[in-house]
Amino acid sequence: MSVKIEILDYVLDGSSNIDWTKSIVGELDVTDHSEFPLALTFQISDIKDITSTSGDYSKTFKIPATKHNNNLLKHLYIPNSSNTNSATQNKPCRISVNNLQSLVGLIKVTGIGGYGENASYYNCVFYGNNLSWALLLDNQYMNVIDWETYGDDLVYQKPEIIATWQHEKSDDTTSPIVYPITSYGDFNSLVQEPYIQLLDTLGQKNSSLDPAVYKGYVGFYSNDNPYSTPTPSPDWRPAVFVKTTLDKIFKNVGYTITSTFMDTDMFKKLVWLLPNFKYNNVDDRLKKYAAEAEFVSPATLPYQTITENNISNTPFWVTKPLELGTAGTYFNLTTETANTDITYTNATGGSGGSAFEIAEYGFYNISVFDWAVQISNVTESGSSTFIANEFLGVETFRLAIQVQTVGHNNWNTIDFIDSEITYTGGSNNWAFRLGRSQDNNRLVNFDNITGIRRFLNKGDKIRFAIEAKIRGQYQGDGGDWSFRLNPKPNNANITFSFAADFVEYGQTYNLNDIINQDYKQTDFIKGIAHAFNLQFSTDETTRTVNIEPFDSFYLPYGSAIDWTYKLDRSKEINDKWFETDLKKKFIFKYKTDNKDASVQYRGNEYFKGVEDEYPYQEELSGNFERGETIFENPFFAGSYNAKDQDTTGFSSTYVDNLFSACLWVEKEDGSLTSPNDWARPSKGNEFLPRLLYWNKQTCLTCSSTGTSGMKFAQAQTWNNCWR
Amino acid sequence: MSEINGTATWGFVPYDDDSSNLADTFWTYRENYLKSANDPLRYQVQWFSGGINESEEPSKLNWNSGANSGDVINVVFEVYSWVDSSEKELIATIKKARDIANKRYDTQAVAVGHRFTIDISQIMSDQLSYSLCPINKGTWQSNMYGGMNGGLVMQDNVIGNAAATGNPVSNYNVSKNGTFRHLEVVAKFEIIGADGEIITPYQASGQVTNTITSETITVINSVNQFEKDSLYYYNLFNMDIADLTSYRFLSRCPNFGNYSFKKPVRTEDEAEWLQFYIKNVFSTDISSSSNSVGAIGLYIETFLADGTAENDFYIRDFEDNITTIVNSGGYIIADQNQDSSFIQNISPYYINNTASLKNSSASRVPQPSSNYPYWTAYTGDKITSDTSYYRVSVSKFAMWSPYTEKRQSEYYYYTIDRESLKIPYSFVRFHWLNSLGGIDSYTAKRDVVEGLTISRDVIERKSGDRTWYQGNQSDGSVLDNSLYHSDTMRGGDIYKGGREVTNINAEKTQSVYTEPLNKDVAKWLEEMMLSPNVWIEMDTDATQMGNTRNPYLRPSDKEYIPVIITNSDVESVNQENGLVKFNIEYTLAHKVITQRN
Repeated sequence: MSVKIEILDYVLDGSSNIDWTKSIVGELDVTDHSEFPLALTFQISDIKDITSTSGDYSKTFKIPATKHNNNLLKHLYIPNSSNTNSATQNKPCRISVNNLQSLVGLIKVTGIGGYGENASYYNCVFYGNNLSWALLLDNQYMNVIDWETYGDDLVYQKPEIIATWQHEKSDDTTSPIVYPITSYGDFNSLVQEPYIQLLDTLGQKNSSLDPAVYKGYVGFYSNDNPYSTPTPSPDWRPAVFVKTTLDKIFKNVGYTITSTFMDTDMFKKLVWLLPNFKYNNVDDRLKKYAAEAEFVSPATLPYQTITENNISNTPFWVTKPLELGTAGTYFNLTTETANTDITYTNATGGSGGSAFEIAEYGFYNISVFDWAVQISNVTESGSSTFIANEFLGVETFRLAIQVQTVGHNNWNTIDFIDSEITYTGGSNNWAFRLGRSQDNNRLVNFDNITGIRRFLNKGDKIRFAIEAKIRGQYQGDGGDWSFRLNPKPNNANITFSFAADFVEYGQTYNLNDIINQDYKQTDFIKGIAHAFNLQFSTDETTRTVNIEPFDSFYLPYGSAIDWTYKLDRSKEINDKWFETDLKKKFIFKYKTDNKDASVQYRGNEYFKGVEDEYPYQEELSGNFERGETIFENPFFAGSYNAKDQDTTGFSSTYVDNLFSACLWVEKEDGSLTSPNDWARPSKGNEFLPRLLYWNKQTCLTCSSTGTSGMKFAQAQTWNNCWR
Repeated sequence: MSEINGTATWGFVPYDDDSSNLADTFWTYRENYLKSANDPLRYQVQWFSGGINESEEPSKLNWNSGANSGDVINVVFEVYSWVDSSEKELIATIKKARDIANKRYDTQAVAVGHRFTIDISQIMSDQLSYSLCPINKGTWQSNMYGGMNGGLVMQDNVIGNAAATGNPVSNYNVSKNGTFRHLEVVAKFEIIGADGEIITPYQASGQVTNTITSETITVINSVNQFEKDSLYYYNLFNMDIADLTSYRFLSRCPNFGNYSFKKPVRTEDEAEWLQFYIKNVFSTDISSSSNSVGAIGLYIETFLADGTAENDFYIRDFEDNITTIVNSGGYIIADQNQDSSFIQNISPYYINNTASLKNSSASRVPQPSSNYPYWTAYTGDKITSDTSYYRVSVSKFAMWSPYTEKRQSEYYYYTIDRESLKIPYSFVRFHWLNSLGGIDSYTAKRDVVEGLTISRDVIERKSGDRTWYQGNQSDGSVLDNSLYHSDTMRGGDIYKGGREVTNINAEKTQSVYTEPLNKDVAKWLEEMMLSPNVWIEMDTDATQMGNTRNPYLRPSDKEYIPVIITNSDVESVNQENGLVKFNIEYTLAHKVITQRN
């Protein structure tokens, strides 16, 4: 018998040529065949480890450090040899016996031995059936799956959410996701009505408006009236088709799946839930969508002149948007936000004020620190000479943050801080007096605007303005007054804080950016295998992984092959009995999610303390040792399903709803959440992944009155209902 | 754009000359160009920057923002090897941090500068093997791609060099000459940037800068024993331009110079080799105005038993592998820098029956009517029945008139062994990779023994059930013969079953004794015992196939057959007995093929 081991790690040079310097390609010299200890272990699934499947691997075997092997393995024996293609990593390999290709898999050099400076052998391990892809997937995480283009730039808007509902199963669509009705807590949280929010932009809601222009969810019309929409609440969280996920995982490492079981409609409808819908790249998003402008000190920004003629004695507001100058002159972006996508446009001459354009939908907190304004150049009818009782009264100075909603022109104040000015002379003690007064040239300080959490649309513009509430006092009422406002942002800053953690309406996300970075691909595969008792076998030649449930994977006894003739009867025969550490009690369960208060409660109340939904428990005979053997799914947690009344819209009677998954954290008051009322805890964001069944309902096409079919969910956009 | 602080130069390197840093350290053995791959091949880079010494770590604080330069933290040595300069191959990249600090003997002070040292001898050793010249061929086909090279057996699965249609000569079944490799090391640097990052210095164009490149040397697959062999091949095995007669072939057989041992060869020997390395084929002052050499060959002189000179002639097959140039006058001249490994068959059979022997150098005619190579045919007697011994040396002839001849090697002596062959107990002629990377040979003639060592794997299988025999009747009726499918017989199939041999493992074990050997010859013959590559000559149906199919590549019916010497000990000196004899035990490397059950 001759054994041949070939390593086939080709590295291309960027075109179609093999880079022989970097490639590790060739046949290894092996020792004499009769002593060549290539002992292969053919592992079958372990009854004690339900997630283990069959796999072939060798014991560690030695190959000689011949000159050829040294060259082939890039002189590994030199510890500081530096190769971009390290021979100690798993390498594609095939083993031929008597010139017939027998095994295909991976080979790994695990050690080198020898005396003195010269190597004499290499230790190797061969990994074959199943273990090859298992090794390639080792330490691969779910958030690095290559979804091709279908997992990128997913738009979280009503049309795109609804579009996913049209697909019945995984192979109906190239999209890997759907948005199922699942409760994670209080729907539409700031509107205490039993609707799931499915929010339109203004352009989507009003068919007479261009949705490409009127892209805001929240904002102000051009007549300054607010939209009055509910606070955006991302009630829909994506679920990913299991079949698509498995296909992509194996495709990423060069394998394809064949499975009768996985080609059933049932399996194609399975989805796994991403129940937290939060980004794993928060830092990157903050760098893109937040901004912090730090003003140089001292910064002398351009002054703004306020001119008002024949001023009324009744106080009124005048507004001057600020000119902040070019970035880098008066202010600089901090290092962290230097490359922000928020665009800044300077406006000179007091035309409209310098503005920042918001680059992404979401919640922001805009704060302004350490601003002041100085008043100077006070004149009346062009004269700076005043007599008694000639002054301009100022009731309040205001530093305001104003928004121009995308698609509109008007600016509306969304936050402000008023100065606490102090009267310094004269008879009217409420007025700040400009004119023949020591209030001229005074510096007026503003307290900080610490900001409030506010939803802004992509394309909204933010500017900063100083306003003054004034009245005339010129020998009675009136007067033609003018004065300058000199912004004094000494050591000041403006910060656009961005809530980067969660996906919000209008945003565009990549699927891999919202998958928890701790989820391992191997755990996912094991989780699916655990759920359906799947067995794996790999044809390394065609790189095909055959996956079937146990009952169909193994042939029945009637199909057994008689190996009697292969027995060597000259050898001693030993029978060894199967040793087991199985305990008397078997429990098959999904993972326990300690954030899921409902499942925990029900487990303790109904399932003998096993914190899962309908765990399977079995008591064996007294021949087994007392105790428990628990087979827990390594990836998925169990989900509570109920006819959730919080999705049904206004109704005074109980709606015989469809079942949907309910993931509820503990309520704030500690009471149990019931599906039969509307009281819900705040949405949870730390759930474990779930395995669900996607059940497309045609009832979504019911009429708006809801009379032509059963209503199982109602959704709200603006102030209307959508069924 | 960045660069290293200070300067970096080579320190210890295999080759030094008058201008190297080593010149002030060592005065002799400079230009030791030819090296053994099994001796240390140390390459050292020295880095000096200001007063930095070995107690100081490279630091980002030393980053020079004006010059964009930083301290060296690592040296990346790139090792290049080739036989053809157009095919330089990067065979290893070694990153090395600085060596440990040195302490001065008296003041405990550390040395100035930093040093980065590696030894690449084993890497080079991995590149080398051997190259056999086919039996009864004058020289190998190519210096670069050798004769029959060592190393891995080629895959040989391409019949067409560019398409499905086959080509008689494959481009994909060629390996490099295993006897020598040129070697060059390029040192690149890694420096510490201003923020502590590691940078490879580069020019504005993006090209890596500050690299330093070693002198090219050549390594051969030789071994030098600590107790007896010199490591310095300069003006010895490295045949160069100097006008010396001390140059030697790549063999330590003591049959050269004034030594009385003449290596025995037999008139039927078709393969007796002299392998040698020529760095520079010119010869200093070989003519009054030029060092140019027009012809180079091995000069063979035969002698009678009383020492009388008999015949003399030249053999020059290896000269076909000398590279040449054409000068401005149209003359073909040997290229001065050969830097290559050569081999020449000087066996009696080859000399007498195959070789195209030559006379001394002819006049030179330029192109287009060039008469290169500049020899005339030899038609006289060669090795005759009276010849007792002959000697061989390198002769060079000047390119220009009067075509001065100069001997430029030691004399190597061979005696004609005329002992008659004892058919069918033929002698055993060994060849082996010798201690200088060449091929040596020896014919052992005494007490040939051949045998087999056999082991069998036996298993026990189920036997048939003899309780019920297949009769020729069924319920009293005789069965028609046509009803039988085969000669299988129930109960009667006792021809198989029970214990069966599944596998036979067999090895041919052979041994032969040498002639009585004196101490020096025995010491030389020890090399065969120490060699990883030993062959015997065999003449069989199998070996004759090569000659039948392609007499150019295999001009003899004999072939080299690899053997494994199995002696665990030999006695090379025995004062009590005087001369010693080796009993060479060996087995064939190719397996004995048996059927399987």
